[in-house]
Parts: sequence; C-alpha cells; structure tokens
Amino acid sequence: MSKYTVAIGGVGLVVLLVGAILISGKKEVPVVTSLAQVQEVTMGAVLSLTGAAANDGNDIKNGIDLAVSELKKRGTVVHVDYQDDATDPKKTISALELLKARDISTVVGLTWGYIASAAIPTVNKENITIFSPANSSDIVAGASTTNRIYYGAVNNYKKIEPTTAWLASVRATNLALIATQDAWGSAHTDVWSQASLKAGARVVYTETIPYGSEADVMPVAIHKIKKQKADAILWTGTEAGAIVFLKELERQNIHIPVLGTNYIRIAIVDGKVANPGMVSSIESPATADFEQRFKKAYGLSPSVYAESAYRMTYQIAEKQDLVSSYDAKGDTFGGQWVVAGVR
Amino acid sequence: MEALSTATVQIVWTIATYTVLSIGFNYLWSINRFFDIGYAAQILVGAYSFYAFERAGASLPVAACGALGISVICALILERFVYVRLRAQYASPLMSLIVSVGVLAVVQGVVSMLFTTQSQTLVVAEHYFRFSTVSVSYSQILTIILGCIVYMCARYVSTHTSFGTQVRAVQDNEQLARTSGVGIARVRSLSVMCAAVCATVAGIGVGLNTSINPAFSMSLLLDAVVISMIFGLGNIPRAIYGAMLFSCIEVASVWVVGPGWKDATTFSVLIMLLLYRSAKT
Amino acid sequence: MEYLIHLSIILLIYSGLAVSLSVLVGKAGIFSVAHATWFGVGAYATALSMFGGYSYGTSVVVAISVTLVVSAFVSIVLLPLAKEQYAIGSFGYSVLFSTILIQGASVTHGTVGMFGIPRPTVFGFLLESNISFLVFTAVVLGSAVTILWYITRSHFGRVLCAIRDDEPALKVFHYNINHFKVLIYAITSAVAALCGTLYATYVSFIDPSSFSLTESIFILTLVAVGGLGSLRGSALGAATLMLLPEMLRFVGVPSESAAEWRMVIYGILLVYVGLYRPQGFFARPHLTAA
Repeated sequence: MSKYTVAIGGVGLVVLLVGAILISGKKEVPVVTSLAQVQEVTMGAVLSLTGAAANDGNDIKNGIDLAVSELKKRGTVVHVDYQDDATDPKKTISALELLKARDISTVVGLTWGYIASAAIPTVNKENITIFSPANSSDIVAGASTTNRIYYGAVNNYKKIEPTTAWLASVRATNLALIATQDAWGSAHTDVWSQASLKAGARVVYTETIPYGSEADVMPVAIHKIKKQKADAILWTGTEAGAIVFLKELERQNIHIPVLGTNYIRIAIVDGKVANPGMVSSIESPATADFEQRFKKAYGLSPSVYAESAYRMTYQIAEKQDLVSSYDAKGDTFGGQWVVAGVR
Repeated sequence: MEALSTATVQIVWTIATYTVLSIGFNYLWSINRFFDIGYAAQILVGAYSFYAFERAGASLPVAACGALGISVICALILERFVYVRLRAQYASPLMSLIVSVGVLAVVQGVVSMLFTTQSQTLVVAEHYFRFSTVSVSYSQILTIILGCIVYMCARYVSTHTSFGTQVRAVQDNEQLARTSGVGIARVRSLSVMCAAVCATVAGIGVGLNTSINPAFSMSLLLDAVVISMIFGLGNIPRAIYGAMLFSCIEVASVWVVGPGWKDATTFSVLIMLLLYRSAKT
Repeated sequence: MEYLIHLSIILLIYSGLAVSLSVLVGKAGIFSVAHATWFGVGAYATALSMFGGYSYGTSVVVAISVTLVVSAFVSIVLLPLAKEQYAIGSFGYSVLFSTILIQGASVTHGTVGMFGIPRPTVFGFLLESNISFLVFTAVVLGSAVTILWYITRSHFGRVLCAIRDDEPALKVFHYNINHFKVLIYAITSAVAALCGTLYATYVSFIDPSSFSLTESIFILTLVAVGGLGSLRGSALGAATLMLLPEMLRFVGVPSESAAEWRMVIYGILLVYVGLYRPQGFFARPHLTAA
C-alpha cells in the first residue's frame, strides 16, 4: 500500500469521524410554548452494555427505556443518547466527552463504582450532571471531590440497622461473611462488621472472592463456614456467584440462615437455582407496581438499579426538584433497606 | 476428613472438565499450530445450544445431542470459510490469533443478543449423592463420567486408530504427511469436529455445575492452553496428566494459600515446570 | 473539540504501546503477552511516586527504572523457553502482576483503584488543559518512537532481525543472543512504562482491570492489524482500531442491542483484516511474519 494511499486513508478516517460528530450532534430542543405541544427532553446514558458490568448496565437501560415509553404516552418525548463504555474507564471518558460535544450535559449511568471514580475529573471539568442509579457515595472513590453526581442506590451504611435486626431475629452468634473483592465488597464487610458488633455476634469467618473465581473458592469457603460452626451467613456478590453459592450450600448440606444482597433473590425468583429455604435478601425493593410493569415489558425481574434508573429518568424529564431527593453527598433520601425472606 | 473429601470431589470434577477442555484444544493445535481463541467461541456455542434446547423442553440427552450437532456444524463452517482461507494465505500465527479473537467477539455478540448477558443455569433442581462425608451432585457425577468417556475415546483414537496416527503426522510435518497419502482436509475436518465435541462437553459440564454467560468461556480457554502446555502441545493422551497437575495445584492453592492467589500460584508453578523441562532438554 | 483531543491523547498512548510491542514481536520475534503489565507497572509506579510527593519527572524516572530492572529480570528468567512456552510464561507474569495489584490493596488500593493522580507539572507549567497534555504527550512519545526507530535502523536492529529470522546461524558468529533479547525486552518495556506514566496522569484514575491480559491481547491486535515489524504500520493500526469503536458509536443500529451489534461488527472487521490483509494493513510486503 503506497504512502499516498495511507495518507488519504488516514485523513479520510479523521474527516469521517469529525463529520459524524458534527452531523450527529447538537440536537435542538424545541421550547414548549403551549400545552398542546409535545415536550422534548434530551439526555445521555453512559452504561456498561458490554463487559463485566453488562448485567447491571442492561438492567439500568431497561429501566430507562420503560420510563421513556411511559413518558411518551404522557406527551414527553425523551431522547436518550446511549453510549456503551464496555466497562472500560477510558471509554467512559470518551463517551462523556462525546455527549458533551453534542451539548448533552445530563447523563444517567456510570454503572460501577470504579467507572464512576474514573469519570469524576471529566464530570467536574465538563460540568456534566450525572445520575448514577447503581452507585452510592460510599463505594465511589473520590466522591467527595464532586457535587455533580446524584446516586440512586441507597447508601450501604444504612444497611446496618436492618442487618442488626435480622441477626437478632435469627439469634446469630457466629457469623460468616462472603463478599466480592472490590469497593462494594469492602463496604459490605465494614457494614456487616458494625452490624455484628451491635447485635452482639462474632465474625468467625470472612472470605473475599475475586470475580470469576466463585466456582473454585466456594467449596472451600462453605466447608470452612461449617468447620467454624457459623450459624448465619452474610453474602454479597454477582448473580453467577449467587448461583454457585446456593448450589454449594445445598451440596454440602448447610441449612443456616443466609442474608444476601439482591442477586441472591433474583437467582431464586428467576428460577435459575432452587430455593434452599432460610434465605433472606436485603435490598431496596422495587415497588410491586414497577416490578409488575417491568416483568410485563421484559419478562425479567428488575433489580433495584432498574427502578433507580426509571425514577431518575422521570426526575430529569419532569425537571423535578433534586434538593428534596438527595442529600449533600448526593445520596438519595428515597428508599430504604428492607430484609425479606425469599419465597 | 470432610475437608479431604470436599477437596477430592472438587479435584476430580476439575480434572474431568480440564481434561476434556485440553483434549479439544490439543486437537485444534495439532492442525492449526496457533492459539485458537475461537475454541472459546465453540465452548460458548455448545453451552448455549444446550441451554436453548433445554429451555425448549428437550430432555437432557436430546439437548446434549442437539448441542453437539450445532457445535460441530458451526465449527465446520468456521473451518471452511475462515481457517482454510487463512492457511491458504500463509497467515502468521499472530494474525490467525487475531482472527480467532474476531470470531469470539462475533459469537459473544450474537449470544448476548439472543440470550442476554445475564447468567443462566443449565439445571435448576439438583440432586445429591451423600455418603459419609462425601457429597456429590448428580451434575458433577455426570461431568466426571462424560470426562472419562471423552478421555478414553480420545486416547483410544489417538493410539489405536489410523486417524490418531494421521493427526500426529499432520502435526509433525504436514508436507510429508500429504506426500505419504494422508488426506489432510479429512484429518482437519475430523479434528475440528473432535474439538467441537470436547468444547461442548466442557461447556455443558461447567454450565451444569455453575452457570454460563457470554464471557465465561475465555477463562476456560486460558486454562486449556496452560494445561496443554504442561505435557506438550498437541499431546492428546497426556492431556489428563496436565489436567491432574493443574487441578491439584489450583485446588491446593485455594485451600492452603487463599483464593486471591490461586492464579498466581498456579502460573508460578507452571513457569517453574516449563523452566525445569527446558533445562532438562 | 475536547472529544477529539481526548481521542488523540489516548490514540498517541496506544500508538506508543503498539510501536514498542511491534519492535519486540516484529523485529526481534519475541512473542510476549505481557506488554500491558509494563504499561501497568509504569502507571502504578508513577501514581505511587506522585502520591508520595515526588514530581512528575522524578516519578517517570522511578517508573522507568523499576520497569527496566523488573522486565530485564523477567526476560532473563524466560530466556530458556521456546516460543509458545515463552508466550505462556509472559502470560503467567501478567497474571502475577494482576494478582499483586489486587492483593496488595494496602499499597495499590486493589480493585477500588487509585484516584486523583495529579496532572504533571513540566518546567513549572501545570498541564491542566487537555490540549497542553496532548502537546506534551506528542513530544514525549514522538521522542520515544524516534529512539525506537533509530534502534531498529542501527546495527542493533539488524541483529534483532537476524535473531528473528535465524537464531542458530547468528550463534555461529558468536553473537550474545541473550544479551540482545534481554536488552530489547527491557527497552520496549520501558517505552510501555512511559506510556503508563502518561495514561495515569491523564485519566487520573487507574485500576487493575486496565492492565489485564485482555489489554495485552488488544495491543497485540493493534500490532497485527497494522503490520508486524512496521513501526509506522503499528501506529496506524493503533489509530485504526482505537478509532473504530468510536466510529461505531455513530453507526445507526437498534438501540435495544446496539452494544452487541457493535461487538459483532468489530469482530467481523477483525476477521476481514485477517482474511484479506493477513500481513497487516500497512505492512511492507517482503516482511516475514514472526
């Protein structure tokens, strides 16, 4: 290939890219002058639709899409500019910069904690307002350096009281903790340790499991839980981890109370694993009404992130007051952690 | 005692899965001589085909046969339309690896579209066999039995049939094998089919015992590559020894050292083993 | 405009990675799957150094020194291994590095990552704006690539090509092959570390997932698509593959499965390159593959 061809190709690629940006950007939002007119709102969504966080990212997207379809029936057309960051921090920044180039300054997304952390400098520099359905300030490193992120997930430290109450109800004295090896896991380990102190229980075993290693680690973990004579387990992890965890509990014939985060309920309710009994989940439950509508639309159970995303889309579209919904750290006032048995 | 029995069950199941994985990878290596990431795509196709048949209401044997059929057909299509062309152009091993990465990306995208990115299980209601301190699920027993069958068949084929001899001939020197009258295209097709069968069995085995998702096959492929390397790439009868060693090290490191260091311990031992072997030769 | 500047910076960094790996794999024939490891060593060494109060210049020196020493050690350890085994050995080091990053959370912050890495101050001038960082990156990486280009054009570079093409023949002429291999491995790893210092200070956040095996394979892809052994080709290949996902953002696909469609399109394009241009888009025809 000649140098001339290479040069032409390279210039062509850059021209195509710049042209695409110019053509696709800067949507004019019509001003509503009468009630008869349809209101149009434009927002961005930077989600992990592929990669490690794809499960959560697609769940959030479904929540947004449900809100968009409902708002359309009410006369508000919401244009959502979806961008996939493939759970890669540098692509998150690219996506945010692209949306800013298109004059979109309100964005829903940043699926996981470390993705949000990576985005903070760009968010501050470009004055982008972020609505993050799946995060809370306690799991985002650098959260205190910005006031431009609103967190849809209830702060995990509010789990201390309901967890303490659950521990008391099952009369737990020896606790086992199983968590993922990330910010979410370490926040939960801290929360559970505080709850166990309050409940007068002792933590006899703690295991943090790297992503993808659940199948290898769980037999060991469950065996050690048995050996330490734990009488209750606190669990958090991914859906794949929940499936392995519950199967291994059954295989090793362990029937002690388990309190897990939302994926444990989803794995059972969606029929992916049998209900071993004695399993409770702590979550900000999706309202029954939302769950019904979500299941009707997608045939899946929603996670709490989907409803957060749904709620946030309404907040953006209807320009709702945010001061009454979020505290100084950006954490939502709404929602609470509720412990419920999994049927 | 209970720890020993739990660890033993884990090791035996892991050996069965890794043996099958390694045999399949060795078949591909014999004919292609590059790290074929497309093997991960075959695992994905096999596992999700089984899932699709099961969801459609098929029984386990019917779903398995259906999955094997689809996997073999997909593998042959890939071989015919992608790898044959690559070989015809004398593509380097690196470029072939890149193409196989592309194949995996396509298959992952299609699987994600059809089945979503959520984890799926291949069996919901599990049954368990319990005897004293030993507790084994029927899925694990099935995987172990399938692993044994696949290994015995592969070993027999490799050492007692002309096909096995021909595979080794092609692996050693393709030109000479062609001159000797070996049907290269037939050997390649059959090897690809064997690899697809192994990939499907391994994918189903893992799916029955844990869960499947569009990204689960890549880590299995990496394990297969490492295990195949231990006793020599392309050495099908010895695949089980590599699987045994790898499984024991992996399970031992989880039990003794800790889960976070599992991969590091396994690879450190592997590197030392490779260095020892190269020092010997 | 900021979007394009951001893309340009990332493109330059990954071009630097691709060019350095191209010298290692294409010129010297050393098939390493650990290039992202050195990228990560540079990034983490810089972050730790800057958090310790040292200037960017000192941090770069620290990062490159650490990388030179560690990569030379790794190279010496892996020397006896044959080609395929070398690749697995380098992969093993990549896994070891990732494990250290995750397990050494007290130093590296584990999977949470290191946040708030400051921008560099060069000769008293803080590179706060992206445009100034772009200029700085272009100057630094341009210099590094020029040095690599000079190396490949020198006697040292010719020996590397000879090692790639016919190592036993070279031994007859009493060349210390191991010396050359270790040296080029260390040099190319140092360039990767330099890219890591730039990445860490630009994105201001690093975590172990950015330096995994997947990233190493991606860098290999950049080299293969561009053309093995061709420095210009590798840089252009990096530009092509880095810009491609961004171009795909503008491709109109149904939003319900847009991300999956883009993955499929990306995969098809990789297959297409392999089938119709197996030597790489920008490679010179007479080069033999490693």
